[in-house]
Parts: sequence; structure tokens; C-alpha cells
Amino acid sequence: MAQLLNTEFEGRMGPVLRLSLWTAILTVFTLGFYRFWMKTRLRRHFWAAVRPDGTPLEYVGKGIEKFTGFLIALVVLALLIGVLALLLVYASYVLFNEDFEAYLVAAVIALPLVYFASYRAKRYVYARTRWRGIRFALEPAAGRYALVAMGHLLLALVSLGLMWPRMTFKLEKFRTDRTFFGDQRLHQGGKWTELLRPFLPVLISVWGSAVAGGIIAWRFAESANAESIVIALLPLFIFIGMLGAAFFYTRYRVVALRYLANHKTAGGIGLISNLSFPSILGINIGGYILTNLATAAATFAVGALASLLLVAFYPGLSHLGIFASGAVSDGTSIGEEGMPSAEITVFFALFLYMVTFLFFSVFRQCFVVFPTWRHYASTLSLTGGEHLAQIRQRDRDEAGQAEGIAEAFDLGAAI
Amino acid sequence: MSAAGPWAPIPDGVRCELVDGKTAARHVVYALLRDGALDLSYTDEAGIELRWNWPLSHLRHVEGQGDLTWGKAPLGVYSNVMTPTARLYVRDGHLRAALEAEAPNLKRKTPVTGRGRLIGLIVGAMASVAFIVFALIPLIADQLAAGLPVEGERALGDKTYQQVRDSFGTVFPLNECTGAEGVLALEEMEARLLEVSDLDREAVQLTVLDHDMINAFALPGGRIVVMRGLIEAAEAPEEVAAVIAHEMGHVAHRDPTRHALRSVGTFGVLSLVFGDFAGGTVVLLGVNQLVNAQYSQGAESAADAYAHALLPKAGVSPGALAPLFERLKAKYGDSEGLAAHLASHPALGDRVTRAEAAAAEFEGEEQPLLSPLAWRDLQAICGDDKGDRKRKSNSVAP
Repeated sequence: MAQLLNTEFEGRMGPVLRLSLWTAILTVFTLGFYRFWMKTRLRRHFWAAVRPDGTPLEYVGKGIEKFTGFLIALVVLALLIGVLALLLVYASYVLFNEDFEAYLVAAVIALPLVYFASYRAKRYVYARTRWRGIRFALEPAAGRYALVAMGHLLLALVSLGLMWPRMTFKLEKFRTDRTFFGDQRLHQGGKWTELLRPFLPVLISVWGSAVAGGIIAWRFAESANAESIVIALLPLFIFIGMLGAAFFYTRYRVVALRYLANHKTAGGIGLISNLSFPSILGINIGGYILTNLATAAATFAVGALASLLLVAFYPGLSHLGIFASGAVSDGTSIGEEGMPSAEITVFFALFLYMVTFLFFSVFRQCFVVFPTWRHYASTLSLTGGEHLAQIRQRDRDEAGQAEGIAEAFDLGAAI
Repeated sequence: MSAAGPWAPIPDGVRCELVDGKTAARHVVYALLRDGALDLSYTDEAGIELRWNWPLSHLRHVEGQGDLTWGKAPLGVYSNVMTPTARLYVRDGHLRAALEAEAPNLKRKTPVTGRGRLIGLIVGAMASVAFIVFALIPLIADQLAAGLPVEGERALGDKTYQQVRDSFGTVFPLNECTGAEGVLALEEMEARLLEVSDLDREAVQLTVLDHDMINAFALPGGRIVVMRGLIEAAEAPEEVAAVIAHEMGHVAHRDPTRHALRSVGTFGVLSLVFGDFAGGTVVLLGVNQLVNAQYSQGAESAADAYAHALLPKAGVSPGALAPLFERLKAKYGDSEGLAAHLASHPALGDRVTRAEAAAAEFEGEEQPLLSPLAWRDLQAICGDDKGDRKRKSNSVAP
């Protein structure tokens, strides 16, 4: 008798908005240093909302762990970002008279580091996640993961993207096969070729528009007068191709996630995911529209308040009214009589920038991440619940340095 | 047969759920609150009856799960400080209320350990970041700036110039002033100054940007930007020339290049520390740094000395700096209010004194740098209407 356990989701928008707004304000007033605790509190909240078979997940990480992990990583990263960036930019200007190459080399250096950091970040998060009192874990293998990922990436590049689904599958398998729930190792089943079909539309969009664009450019390059309309349409053509690629790639991500979930097992326990692409697409489109509207409104309100403050101190700005803070941060009238100094100008520009940034992340958390999370959770079921009794506790994994290097890349920006 | 199974008598107490922290099985337990302790009894999978006794003083909330709900009802999640991985899930409102009221240490947290290590880490990290930002990056940047070929320097300058224009413009980049006669006058001034300097004919490029700020600054590769506000604040071409000569000093000493390279490293590190992934802070601070560059006192004095040596050769008294400074000082006070780096260290007063000292030694004959007509052209380089607007905005200010 296979027991089917459904996942409940218990969470409302209101508390999420309150928590994320409050922690974001704390983050701004601590010059960003509260962000480690902000993330921890948000995770606790999000985890507790997900309840497979009615029992909430638990996140037991601590802000202080993330903070100390960041401090340790900071030294290495400061050297890397400060000194290496400087050397690269210099070399790039010496050799090429521009800095594009510097960013290219920096990206190539950063790429394995990103995979390395993301694996370590996952290891920390798993080690701090519990369900029914039992710990999850991910075996330490960040270095190998980065190496393997580079191999797959190279292969995907050489095969013009055809091997991309293979990379998706193999990397997921690499992680899943090293994941534990208690003493039970997880296993990723399935075949990578199953992911090929949902990925084909992405390839067709990218290569189709590239080839067609190339042909048009080559065919009509000389005859500039008669068919110039075709040339003019070229950017539009490429735009449609890119839009199609983005659409199909989002779909691919959802389909792949569902396929990979449905082929995961932990001993006699399996997963069933009914993730729906139209739902995810709707959540994203609606969510981002709401996020941007709310961000614009909130930033405008704060800008107007800041303007009142400015006008009170600098009556010369009164003709600008509620737009004074915006005008000041644009550098209007710096250094004139009765006008704010450059320091105040920079301060206001930074303030408005931070406020916009803050509101965007808060609203995105509420209108995009939260509904996505809810959809993921409520479409997930466990099979073989009777096998859970055989799963035993495992020892605690320190996963020292927490997310460390990952803090530099904003990995897992979602949550 | 044991007492388990559907026909067993229902034990005393409130039905709750318990996980023991040893296996992933969830047990139905019956909880009874008596004598300051919680009695938990359940039957495990093997059919063995078990009894736990949790003193209320051992009960703890699970952090972040103190006020969970289950539908509209509250869901109590408790752990025992002696068995921290075990969890008791209470859905019964009465029992939960009783526990919340009677358990004394629910909100107590595990004590923070390793405070000394933490302080050590913070100090160590701050020290090494400070070393990288204030010692290592400037050292490397200064070395590299000396070795950057002219083409690279100019490309770096073009990039930073574009950044300045983008950031000071509102929607479109800030306008470059290109009134034909004005540009001729500007070129005349540039040629006069370059002629007598030790710089290449190509080393300096003068540009006027359409902005109110009373400021001029040098960018890498010898581009010197004069803001319209400075030309309007000046009463004679010699005053503008004196400021430009000072900026030429910075160009000759490669100060802007050193500065730009330093900020490449420094602001990247800063945005890392403050967790600004969008990089907006970097751009903002970077541009501010370019325009309001606070060079070291030594670099400023050296640029002043350069200007004092250059101006007499062009037939301009080094004292030409003084009237402009005096007017700015009268208007804004010493180093206050005026943000332009004209006011940066050394303080205005000092610079006026030294300009006048240099002027006292000037024995040559003063020659007008531009004809009155060319000077009027230069003043109108951004177009006449701009000047009108400026006057209007001044009349609004009290």
C-alpha cells in the first residue's frame, strides 16, 4: 500500500509583506549588514509555510553563521574583485583600448567560482533544513561540481546548445545523488534525452533567428536602396527570436524541474510534481507588473517625503515641490546659494537608489517569489509515506562558512 | 496483541503529533498537562508503548515557528531543550493556550557561543579590507597608471567622460556645448596654454558641458571638462584659463588616471561589502569621484604650482585665480557650500594667498588672453537661451 502524502501550503501575503518590508528597512539602516539576518528570517518564514503531510519544514540556519561566513569569504573576494579587476581593466586598456575584454576574462574566471559557491550555498541550506525533525544534507563536493559543470558547459558550447539539456540533467543528478534525508540517500532517475524535446524550441528560436538574420544581412547587404526595408526589420526579427527563446526557456525550466522531481526517489519514497507552466508564466508576468507598479508608487511617495524635508532646509528648492529630491539627486543647482552641497546631492542620489532597490526586492518577494513558492509546494506530493519510519537521523553538518562566497554573486537571490 | 489498533481504548489526554528526532516517523501522542510537566504517551511502529515526560520549564518554541497557523487556528510547535531535534505539534487550542501561559522558558534561545571568535573575525576582515582598499589598490593603481599607454588612457578617459555625461543628464546625456564661435575661442585658449606648456599639442582636449555647476575637472587621457557654471561665474577669460591651467597640472601629473584606476578596484570592493549587487552605488560614487575628485593635498598643491609656473609664460598673471576665488569665498564661505573641487583642499583662503604670492613675483607684461569678442563667444558657447534660463533660476532663489 503506497501512501500518498500531499503538501499543504499555509502562508498569506500580509505577513510576508510585513516581514520583508521590516527586515529590508533594517537592512537599509544598517548599511546592508542586516541582510544576513533578513534572509534567515525570510527563509524561516517560507520554509514553515511548506507542510508536506501537514508537518512544516524547518529552517534552522542563523544569521550570525551567514555573517561570519561572509567575513571569511570577504578577504578572498576583496582581493579578487579589487586587485584582479584593476589588473584586468588595466591590461584590457593596454592591449585593446577598451574594457570589454576585461569583463569577458572576469566572467570566465567567475564562472567556475559561481558553480563552486552555489554548491556550497546549497550544502549549507540543506544542512539547516529539517522535516519531521530529520536533517537534510548535501555531501561536500563543491570543487568537483565546479569542474564537472565547466566540462558540461564546454560541451554545451561546442555542440551549439544541443548538449544543454544533458548539462541540466547531469548537474541535477550530481547534486541529487549526494543529497540525504536523514540516513537515506536520494537518487535521480530518468534520462537526459527526455529533456531534449522541451529544449528544442529554445534552440530553434535562437539559431533560427540568427541564421535568418545572417542570411538577410548577407543577401541584402549590397542592395541598400530597394530592400532596405528588410534590413530595417532585422532588429525586430532578432527581438522576436529572443522573446521566443526567453518564453521557451522559461517553459523548459518548468518542464525540466517537473521531470526531474518526478524521477527523484529516496529509498521507497518518491516525488510527484504537477508543476504547471501556464501558472508559473502567469505568476511571473502578473507578479512583475505588480512589483514594478508598487515599486514606482512607493518610491514616488518616499521621494515626495524626502523633497518636503529638503525644501524645509533649502527654501531655494521650493519651486521644484515634491520633485526636489529627484532634481537634487540629478545634480541640479549644486553649489549655488541656498542650494544643497555636492555631499548632500550624492547622499540623496544614494538614498533614492537604495530605496528603489529596497522596494523592488520587497515587492518581488511578495508578488513573485511567494506565489511561485506556493505553486511549487502545493503541486508536490510524496509517495511511499510508509517508508518514512525507516529513515533515521543523521549527524549535524557544520557546513562552516555558510554561504560564504555565494554572498558575492547574489546566488539564490529568490530566497 | 498489544493495545494498538483501531479498537484500542483512547488514552487520556489531548491528541497531538510527535516526531522523536531519531526517525522520520510521526507519532500520534496523547498529551496530558499535570504537575508542571507534559505527559506524552504513544505507541511506536513496533507496537511498544512509550511514555515521555517533558517538564514545562524544558519546553521551547522553535525559532521562527512561534506563531504558525493551521487554517485559521494556531499551530503550536514545541521542542524540548534536552531533546532538541524532537518536535511536538499541538493543534488543540486549549492545550496550546495552556502551554503558552504556563511554560516559563518558551522564548529562551540557545546562548550564543564563540563571541570572541566573532569579534576576531570582524576585526580581521575589516583590517584586511582596509589594507586592500587603502594600501594595496592605490599602490597597484599608481604603478599601473604610470605604465598605461596614451591610447589606453584616452580610451579610459572617453569611457569615464561618457559616464559623467550619462549620470548628470536627466534622460539624455548631458549636452556638449558646441557653439561654433565659442569652440573657436576655446580652441584659441587651449592653444595659447599648450604652446607654453611642456605637454604635447595633442595631450589636452577642452570640452564645455551644459551644467550649472561651478566646476572644472580633468579626466584620464587629458580631457579637461569645464562646466558652463564656471564660465558664467568668471568675469574674465584669464580666470577660466587659470582654472584650466590648474587642471593641466593634474593632467601632466596623471592624477586623473591614477584616480580612475583606483576607483575601479575600490568601488567594486565597497559594493561587495554593502551587498549592492545591482552596482548602482559603484556608478554613483564613481562618477562623483571623477567630478569632485578630492586629490591629495600634495597633488593639489603640485597642480597649483604647475599653474603658477605656466600662466606667466602665457602672459597671464597667476593672480588671475584670485578674483574668482575671492568672489566664491565671499559668496559661499571658506570651503563651505561650494562643492566644486575648486573648494577642495587646500582651503580656498590658502590658495588665494598663494596665487597672490605668485602674482607678486610675476614681472612680465599682462596680455589679454582672448579678445573681448572671443570672450563673449566663449560665454555663449552653450547658446544664449541657456544663460537666460540660468538668470531666471537665480531670480527664484532668495
